[in-house]
Amino acid sequence: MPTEVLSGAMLSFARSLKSMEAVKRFFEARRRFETDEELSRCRESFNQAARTFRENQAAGTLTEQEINRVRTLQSSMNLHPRTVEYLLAQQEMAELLQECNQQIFEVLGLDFAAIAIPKGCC
Amino acid sequence: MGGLSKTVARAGADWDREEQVKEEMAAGGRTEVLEAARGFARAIGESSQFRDYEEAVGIIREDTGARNLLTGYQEAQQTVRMLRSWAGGNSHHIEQFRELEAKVFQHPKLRRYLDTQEGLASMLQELNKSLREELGFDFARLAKPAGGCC
Repeated sequence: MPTEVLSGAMLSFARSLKSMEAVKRFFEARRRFETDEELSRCRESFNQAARTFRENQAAGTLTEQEINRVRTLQSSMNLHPRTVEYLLAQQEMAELLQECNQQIFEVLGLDFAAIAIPKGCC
Repeated sequence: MGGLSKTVARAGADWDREEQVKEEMAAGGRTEVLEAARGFARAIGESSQFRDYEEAVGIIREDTGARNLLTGYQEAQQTVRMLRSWAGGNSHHIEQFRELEAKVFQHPKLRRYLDTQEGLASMLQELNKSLREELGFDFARLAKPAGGCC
């Protein structure tokens, strides 16, 4: 169990991170990415097309048209401005987090992120 | 036109000042967050889990035999992992790995080293979980440079 000092330092680090513009931009981009109506419709269409794809693939009745439809919908999702905005914001924030992780490494000689990453990530 | 030029120039100067203030604030925030990261690291450094691990590392560093055994074990572990990911294991390599594993686990200094390493890793994972709850995203996953998680 972390000590009070450790919990305090963790909270102070978390608060400091949350006050950063890059982190605020990430939260805003994530909110827009998750709530954009057009993108939600796109996601639903993709999920539906992917289901049909899997069913027809299993049944051996998959058509070229269905393959192209899944590809097109996937591209629409990936290239949607809200997706691009979200990924760029995440990238910008990740650079800051990597810099913080480097600071931790310089003090401890340990790669915090590599050790603390949730299990089952591979 | 003169008045307009002055207005435009003033607006430009205001904009430059505003940008400068923003940059200074961002730089200040960055310094602060990096210092907070160092503070967090220092607090980890003071924990019993980190100290125990450091002590165990120090003991291994002084013992050439233990160090060689550990290196051999880690290499065998990596070989077995690689072979498994390619096409299932080779019995000779697996047998060699099991033998080294048994030796390592029976070696008091190495056993202590591995136990303290596991204790420290558990604590860091727990801290990352708390960070995730506070932040709303996974710090470790995003702070790990690209190139896969393994």
